[in-house]
Amino acid sequence: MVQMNENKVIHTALAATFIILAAASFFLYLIKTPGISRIPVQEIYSQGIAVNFYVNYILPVVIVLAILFIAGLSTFGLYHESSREQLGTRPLFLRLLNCFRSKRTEK
Amino acid sequence: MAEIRRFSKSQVAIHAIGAFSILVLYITGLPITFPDQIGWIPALLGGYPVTMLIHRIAAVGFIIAGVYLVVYHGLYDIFIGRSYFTDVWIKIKDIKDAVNDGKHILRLSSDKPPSYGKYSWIAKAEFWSFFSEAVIFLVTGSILWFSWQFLAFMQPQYILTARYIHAGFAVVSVCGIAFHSYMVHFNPENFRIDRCIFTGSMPEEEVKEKYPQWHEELQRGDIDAE
Repeated sequence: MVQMNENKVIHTALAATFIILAAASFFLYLIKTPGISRIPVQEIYSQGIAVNFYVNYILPVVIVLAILFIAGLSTFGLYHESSREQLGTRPLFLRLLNCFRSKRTEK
Repeated sequence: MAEIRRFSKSQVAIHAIGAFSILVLYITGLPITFPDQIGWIPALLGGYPVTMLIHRIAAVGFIIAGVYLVVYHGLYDIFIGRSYFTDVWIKIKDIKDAVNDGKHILRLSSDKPPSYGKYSWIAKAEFWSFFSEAVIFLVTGSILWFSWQFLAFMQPQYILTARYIHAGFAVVSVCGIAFHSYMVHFNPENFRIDRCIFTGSMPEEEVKEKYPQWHEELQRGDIDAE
């Protein structure tokens, strides 16, 4: 097994990153698009119905689920790392206000 | 007070480049999706062609940060040992922690809240949601940027689809960034800013309080810091 320290890992990772990106760019520019002399913007929009089924029905569901996930995470985040032992029965906004107050008085 | 190293120099650099480029991507990308509402931003920047150029330059920065993150931690895991990826990998304990945290917050359990390792289940969920969004942006953004090449083997309508997915997930990721900003800026414990991601280290007392399990592992000498 090759021995590496952190500096060597950084240099190798930097080199590999640029090689991967250069190879990807080179590959993309190699692709030829025969028979098309311009990007058919109007056609894309006028023929967009077939794929738009997924865009119209599935994508919003995925996005709503993703937002719910983040909202759920945010709700937990409000309690996470902020004196969960001292939650008490006070409403959340009062608890937050109190945290800010105690921070200020400490200073 | 003793400081414990939490992030390596590479991780600090990846975060800085990624954070800066994603902010530029929002500033230049969202006006393209909502030109009626925030079309004044491209006007200020010098028009849509300039805005698109800045967007693509920022995209290159974001892609470099993302590819480097994967390659660096992959190599670190192979040649040195336990890396960030090992630490953020989702384990059964995280699912149990999430359930126990939920019970604790809803007052369904009188047990003590779970103690976290180096990364809590919330931090892991946050990381993986960012990571999956970054993959979506990379794929759809490449289709839009290199639409000419993709037309060689792709129906034109898929380019439209890529555009909608790219814009839709941009809105989703703004929500994620808002949450992340709350956690590192407005969470009372970190207000005004959590400097750990800039300095790479945090006081031992803080580690003991926030990540007791990680602190125990460090004390036992099971793992090194970072």
